[in-house]
Amino acid sequence: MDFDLSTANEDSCLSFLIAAKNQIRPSDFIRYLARISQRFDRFINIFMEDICNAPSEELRGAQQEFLVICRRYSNISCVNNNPLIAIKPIYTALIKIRRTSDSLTPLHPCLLQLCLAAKTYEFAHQLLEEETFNIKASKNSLNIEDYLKFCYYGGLIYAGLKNYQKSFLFFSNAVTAPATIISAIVVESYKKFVLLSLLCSNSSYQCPKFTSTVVCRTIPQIASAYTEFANAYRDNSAERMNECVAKHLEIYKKDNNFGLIKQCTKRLNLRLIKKKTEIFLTLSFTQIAETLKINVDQVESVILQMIVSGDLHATIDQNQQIINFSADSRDYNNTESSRELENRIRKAIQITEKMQQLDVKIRLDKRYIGKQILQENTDWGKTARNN
Amino acid sequence: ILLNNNNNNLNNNNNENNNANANNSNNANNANNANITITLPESVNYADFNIDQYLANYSGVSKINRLIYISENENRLKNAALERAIFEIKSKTNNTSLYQQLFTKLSNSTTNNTLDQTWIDITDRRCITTLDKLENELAVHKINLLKENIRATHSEIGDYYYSRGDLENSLKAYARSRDFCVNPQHNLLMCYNVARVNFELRTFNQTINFVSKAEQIADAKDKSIITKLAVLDAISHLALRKFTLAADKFVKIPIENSSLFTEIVSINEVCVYGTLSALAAYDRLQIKRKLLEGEASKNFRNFLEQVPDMLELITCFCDSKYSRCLDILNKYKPEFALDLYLREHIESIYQSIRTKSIVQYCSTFNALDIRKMAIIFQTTPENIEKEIVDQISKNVIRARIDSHAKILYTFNEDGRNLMYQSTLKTGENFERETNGLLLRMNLVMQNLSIKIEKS
Repeated sequence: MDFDLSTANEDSCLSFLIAAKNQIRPSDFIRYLARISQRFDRFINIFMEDICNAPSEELRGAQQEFLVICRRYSNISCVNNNPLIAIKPIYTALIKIRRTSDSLTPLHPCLLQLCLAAKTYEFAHQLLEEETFNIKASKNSLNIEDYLKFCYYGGLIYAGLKNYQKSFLFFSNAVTAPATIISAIVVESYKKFVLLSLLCSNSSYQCPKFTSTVVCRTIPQIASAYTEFANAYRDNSAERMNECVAKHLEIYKKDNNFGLIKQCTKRLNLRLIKKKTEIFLTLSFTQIAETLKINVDQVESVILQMIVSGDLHATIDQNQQIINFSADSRDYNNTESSRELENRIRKAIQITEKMQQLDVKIRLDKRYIGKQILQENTDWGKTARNN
Repeated sequence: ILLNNNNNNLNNNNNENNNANANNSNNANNANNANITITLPESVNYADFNIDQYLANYSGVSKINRLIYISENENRLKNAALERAIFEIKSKTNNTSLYQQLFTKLSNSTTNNTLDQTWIDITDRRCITTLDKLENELAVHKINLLKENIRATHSEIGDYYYSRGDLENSLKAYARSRDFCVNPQHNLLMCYNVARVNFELRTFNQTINFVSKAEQIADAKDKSIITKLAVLDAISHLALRKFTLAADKFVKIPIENSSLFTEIVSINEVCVYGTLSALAAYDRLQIKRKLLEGEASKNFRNFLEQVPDMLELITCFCDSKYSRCLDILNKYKPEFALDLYLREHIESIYQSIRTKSIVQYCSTFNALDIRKMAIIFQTTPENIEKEIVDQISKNVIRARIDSHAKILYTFNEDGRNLMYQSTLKTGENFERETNGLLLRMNLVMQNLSIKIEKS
């Protein structure tokens, strides 16, 4: 069917599409729609449902165009403030287009974006739980932007669900993506990466060793407000932290990170108290008030909160106005601990196996062997010349 | 400071007077030393401090140096010290420039001494002629290429400059004599001279350098020089804060030749320096072995007998009688504060001795009352608690404080729990890092990276 896009107007496009829908193969239809929607994108809304009901081979046949349409669709939905409607079609599309249940597609970040906009975290959570780190870029037409967006949105969702460990993991994946230039997504991810590392207290906020040098060198300076904050936190210095917050308040609010900052300040109190538990068995209310720099009356409620949330093991003696710290009585002498240990060992073995497989694969790779031979030849040449 | 046995009574008398006049403020020694504040006990009154007794043990250059040091650092004793220094300089050396310097300092206060210009002129003229003569000799010897004479003349020139107080030139002259040294005796003498001048210039690293050179000279036979070198070595280490090495060396100084090094320090001084560095550096067992009992300590015990207070100090430390220890230390603090080589380190030495005593004390009990401890260590319960907290956070004392009842309980970490925790944590870290790496490798292999698009 012939159609001249340059001369057509909106109505003729629409009638064409309606006619075409029933007459041509879905993959061709998708191609036409992609071209037309460049100019008139509201058509996508109309036809989205139908497209997504098409069989998956057809969708894969016109994969590039289909992805273009989907991306536009989700953007429009977000802009028009009705993301909720878009979730279902995109989800069906995602299920159809992905080849295995753990491969990453460009539709993943689209869906996450919609969920975030619609604030339906639970649904996104389900998706994220299926560990999708099998990346085959060419088959799925994945590009680096999709990957970064996936990590960033995933991190945001987990942070919203208060699963700080996983959130931290996602942001660190974004930060450690290979790079030769700086990307805005990575900068934002880094800021959150730093703040989350403080919340999951066992991680360091230095970039992992395998981060690209570009990132390592330039981004901490761009995000200096955050590294300053993290330094103050690490040094357990409440005054410096508060100073920092006061100084950079605008920046934190603009980046939408103020909520995380507030959480960190609360956690600092816990950290200070925990340090004291290493030295003291009991502390009076006045001493605690001094450490945390709060009023004596507030001490009881603050400590109570910490005990209730399980972060601190202690008892409050109101008569004498002291807190008794009890040791962390977690006894490792039971089956649960040994099972946990076994689990960890098993996971470590799995990972090592994966690594060995990868090693074998690379060794057998043509390019690697080629380079090896080249290397050997030059070495041979050198030794031959020397003899 | 440390009087001979004969003068012990006078010493005690002195201190009683000090204690009686409890009205002077402490902490006046801020004068020329950059940022060294020494907290003296409340009752120090230098008005009764007898300078002559203090100096009876020294002779020659070291006496002058000490007097100058006292005048710089302790305002109340300034005039007395300067007067005596001027007297010494005039009678024993040719150092006219220093004489004039000190005189200007003295003339800022009220005394009746007048600058002896005639002495200055005479000495200057005399020295100029000496210098000329020496330099002529040197020229002659150089022409005749008489190695031994050249060396001897260089050495004499060095001596000359030394007596004039021109230490830089002295050093140069001695260094020049180095090339002409033939036998071990010459080498030894040269090393000694250079080390001595460096010591006066307070470049202690060089001193140590040359002492070790001298030690390597085989066949060195001059006992007096060897002993003097040992003393210089030990004090240099002390001045450089290397207390362990200093203590090692002090313990080895032989007492037989003690009269030979009075020009540098006195016997009592060696005893004091040795005791303090040992207390700051060694632990209890080592102190016992090296200073009190056993074969190795026979030598130093002779020193200790000269100053019974130091002997008592060490025995009390080993016997855990800490309050007596602290008493003795406090008693001598004002005098140590005047000492040429100790002043800069006295605070840190005292602090380290105090910390060691605290740690030792805590390690012997399962549970102890902090209030009682505060009394022994002559401070308030709050302060002692702070000091203990310091040591706990550095993990030196393994204990926990019950702040309400003021009791310290020893605390033993459950090793097994710790190990479990660290194992699990290691596993977690390994998993996270390796996964991250594998993911990244995957991305790189697929050519997915943030780069400038080549369209």
